[in-house]
Amino acid sequence: VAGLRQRWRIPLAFGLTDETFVLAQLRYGAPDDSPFKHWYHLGSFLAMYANWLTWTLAGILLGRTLPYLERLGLEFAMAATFTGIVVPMLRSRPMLGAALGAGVMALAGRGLPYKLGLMLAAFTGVVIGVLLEKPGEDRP
Amino acid sequence: MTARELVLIAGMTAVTFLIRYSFFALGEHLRFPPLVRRALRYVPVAVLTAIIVPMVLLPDGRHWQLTWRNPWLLGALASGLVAWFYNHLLAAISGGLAVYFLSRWILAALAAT
Repeated sequence: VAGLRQRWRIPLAFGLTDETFVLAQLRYGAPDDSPFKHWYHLGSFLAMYANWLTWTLAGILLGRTLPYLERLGLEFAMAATFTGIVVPMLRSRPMLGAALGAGVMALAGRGLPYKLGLMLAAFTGVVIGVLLEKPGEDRP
Repeated sequence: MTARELVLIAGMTAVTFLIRYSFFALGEHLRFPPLVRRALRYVPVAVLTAIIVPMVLLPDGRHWQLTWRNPWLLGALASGLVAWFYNHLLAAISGGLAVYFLSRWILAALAAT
């Protein structure tokens, strides 16, 4: 993105989500030197955005018609997803330490206002991860 | 929708957009020092773990539930195990959801008898 003009950067920044970031980063890093990689980025953003709007609308409409939706336990899907993302990353000592530190700190600071506990936990995890890296070791 | 709400939404849009755009605008002038680059690798794991752990161990936000009667704990363990051994995200999510709903159903049946 660093090579693009500002009039490209503004809409792309507006549409930056986690998913678009992952896809665009892969495309920019690909070995070919196609000059149209930012169009790929834009396409990803538009597709993700449309998808998001569609399901938000579906959620609003369904939420009105289905009673007891909040008792179905759909929030658990988020915990399952995050667990599925995190666990395979825990294959090195620094990563494991980062997760343990963040988890313990999140429990200790869960009463703090404004999600400060989460911030503190993330910071603790990052510091522990960096400290556990062996000198000269370059990959996590 | 009141004027107050419109101002609130416009403000939130501006803040979110400025945070995202700041890195894009600086672009080529921005280089992270090596220590920051190393540290950034741990951010996803640290943030996600910090979100999950309290959700799973204290599902109601107040009481510790470190028992097999906690469907959140059982479901998260299941998706963790599937993710560890098969490294397949969709399988981990479905496995976790299956165990979560199954254990809720069994626990409700046990409570009824």
